[in-house]
Amino acid sequence: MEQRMKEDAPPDIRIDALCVRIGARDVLCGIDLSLRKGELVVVVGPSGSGKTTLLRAINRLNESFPDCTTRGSVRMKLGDRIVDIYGGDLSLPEIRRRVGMVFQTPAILPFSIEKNIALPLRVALGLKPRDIERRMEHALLDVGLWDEVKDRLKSPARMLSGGQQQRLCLARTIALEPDVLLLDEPTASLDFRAAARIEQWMIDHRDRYTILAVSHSLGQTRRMADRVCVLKDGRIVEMLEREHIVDAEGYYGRMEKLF
Amino acid sequence: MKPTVDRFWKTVSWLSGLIVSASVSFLIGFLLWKGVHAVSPRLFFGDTAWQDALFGRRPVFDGIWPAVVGTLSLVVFASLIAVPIGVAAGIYLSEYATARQRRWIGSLVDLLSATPSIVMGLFGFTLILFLRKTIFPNAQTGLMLAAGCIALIVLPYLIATTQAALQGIPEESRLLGASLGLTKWQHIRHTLIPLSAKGILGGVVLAIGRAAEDTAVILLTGVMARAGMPRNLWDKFEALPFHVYYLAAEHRDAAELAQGFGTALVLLMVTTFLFGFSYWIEKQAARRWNSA
Amino acid sequence: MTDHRFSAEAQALRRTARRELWIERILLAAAGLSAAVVVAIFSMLVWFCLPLFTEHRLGAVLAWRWDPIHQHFGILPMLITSCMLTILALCIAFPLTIGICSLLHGTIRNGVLRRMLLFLVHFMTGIPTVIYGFVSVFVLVPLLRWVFETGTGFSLMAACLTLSVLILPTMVLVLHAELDQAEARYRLTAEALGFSAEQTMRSVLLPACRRALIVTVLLGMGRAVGDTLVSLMVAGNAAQVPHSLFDSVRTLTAHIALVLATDSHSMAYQSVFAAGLFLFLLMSCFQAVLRFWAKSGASFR
Repeated sequence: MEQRMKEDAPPDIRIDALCVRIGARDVLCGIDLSLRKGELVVVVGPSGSGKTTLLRAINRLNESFPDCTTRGSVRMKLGDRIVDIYGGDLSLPEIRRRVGMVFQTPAILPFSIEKNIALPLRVALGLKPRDIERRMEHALLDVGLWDEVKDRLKSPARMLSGGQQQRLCLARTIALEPDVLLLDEPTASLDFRAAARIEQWMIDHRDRYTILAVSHSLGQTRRMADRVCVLKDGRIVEMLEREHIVDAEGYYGRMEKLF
Repeated sequence: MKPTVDRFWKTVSWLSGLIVSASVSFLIGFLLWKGVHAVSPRLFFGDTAWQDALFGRRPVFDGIWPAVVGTLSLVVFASLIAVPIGVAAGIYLSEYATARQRRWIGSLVDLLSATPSIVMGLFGFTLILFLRKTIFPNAQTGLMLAAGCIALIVLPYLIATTQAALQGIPEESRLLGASLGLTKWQHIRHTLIPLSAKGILGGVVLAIGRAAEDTAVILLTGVMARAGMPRNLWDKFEALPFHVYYLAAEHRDAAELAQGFGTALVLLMVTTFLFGFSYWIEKQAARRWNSA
Repeated sequence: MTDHRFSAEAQALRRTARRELWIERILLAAAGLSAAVVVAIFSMLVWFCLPLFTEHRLGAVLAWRWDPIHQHFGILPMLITSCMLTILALCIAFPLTIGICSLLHGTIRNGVLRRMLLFLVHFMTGIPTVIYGFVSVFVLVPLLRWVFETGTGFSLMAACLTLSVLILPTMVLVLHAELDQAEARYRLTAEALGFSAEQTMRSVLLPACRRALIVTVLLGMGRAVGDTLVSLMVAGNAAQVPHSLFDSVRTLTAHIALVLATDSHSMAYQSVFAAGLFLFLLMSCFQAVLRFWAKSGASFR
């Protein structure tokens, strides 16, 4: 009953006929996808299938690379209006503030822990120091990093372990208070325990943000996902709903066939 | 978002770009405007016919041909001295030297590169003083002394580019040569040097450009305003950059001033060509690595 | 039969080994010679400055007046001029360098303007010093004379303006190379966080290149202090302490050139060697600091 109600609600992100061409190659073709808050969607697929490009199409980061053309539409619900991300209503920096991204390897800036979070808040959002402090503490508490770093906020961020750095990047992104989170294999470079922490965080926060994640691990996907989107050669070849994911044998069987 | 700071930064950057572009464009334009009509056979050879001048049958009085020959001789002799030593030293530092040797020799060569060119000229001058007091009472500053000092100025460039070119060879290419059972020198000579030849050549061209434009060294080691063609390797000589300097300060009439602009233009064309050539070689070498 | 072949092979191997050894020796000699040169230069400078210390004439050279006719051989005015000129030239060149790099890595990151600007800067490195001086003599000096109506135009101001344009391209290229590296590492992250191109340049790339900024300044200072022709041609060459930007002044480098060209008094010569030694030591300090910065920077990567 609840599931059906969720499906009737208008999607927070709606991707229609998305095609991304880089150089001479069509990396993505005919992608139709709807994302909602409260529903963790995970994208899986063999390497080169366009998973990262799909993510980057939503915050328009593909355009940082030369020779890239995008066709189709990506519409996002902001407040009570619907905005076409490619339509020009929002500037690129504005889009990226609302659509946060976490990369595969922790992309920390060469500054202190504090400055890693404070700098985007100050420069991109123009917040005052008090607000910055508040948001920073909030974000660090949220990802469970506050107790570990509160005494050494001014030390360089590269001194942290891999898992801590990735959580810092997560904190940095959510401090901007985005509506959407794009997570590109966020646990790929982390050890088992650090990975589990981030997984749990994603599960706990799926009602707060519209989350689209790419995962390299079928097991992880099975643990986290409400819906699984299988990408192959730039096309969606399968969408799995919760009931098909929960059943282990069926899930792995289908995955093997698809890959 | 601090729009005022952003706007300020943007304005300053655009202004900087504009100021610099405008200055340089103006400089080149000005030289072209004032000098282009002076560039003619007359600029080079004065009243003497060019065949007579080229074969030394008659002296050139009002032309810059002696200065061209002087600069050319300086460049050739400086290169003959500096290139073998510089490339050899670069090879040694890259392939044979221990870490300790590399640190010491490297520091000293760095110091050499930091020596101001006027101090190098001073060094050359004092060499003559030494010779006068000891074995050669008639020692004079001249072409070979100046060429030697210029060679010392460009030596660090050559060593650095040779070292960098050799160090830039990827591991696979190095291992390939070694695995063929060559001795160390054979490996260097037949594998590494051909691979780094472009980089080394770029360094040589750069050194030539530096030798052609130097003025401070030759000021103290034998350049003169009206020396004519150098009669032998130890004679006084003329040079293009000195001619430009001299005419700026001591031109007597409009004709000499025009000659100054013409000379400046010729010098600029020579150095532009050399630096452009070196840049092109560098790009070729870089492209090789990117495709390999 | 086996013995005979064996010894021929062994002989050939020994010859090769000997030849290899000689080649290594020759290469070492070349490297050693290159290293020894700077020692010779330093020794020469010290040797000729020794009389100043042994005969207690240092005071005569470290004095404020240069007037050989009246037996004054002080080089302090030239020293002050060299320092002032360097600092002033840097004050102009450094902001311009940052501005141009901001342009290259910020606003005109993509497109044809960037390539044109880079080409221009590269071209500037190929322009001989004497050409900068030459154009200044016939354009800048009269312009200053006309605008400010003081003196002949041959002044500290003319020299510092020309010198800043001279040292600019090297500074830009060094900073630009570092910024390129920083860009490769941090641009995507910054863009994903919602930074504009200018904000990325200002808040991320420049702070990440703090070390390179210092290297840039040191390189610029080194080139400015060591330059002879610009000050020789446009600074006026009066041996006095500058009291205004429009005073005619003389740098240490120009001093060496002028004295050796004209004077033959031994004390005048000695002032020249003192100037030369000072310049050499100053440049060595710059070099040492540069090396130190480069090394400590590398260890943090």
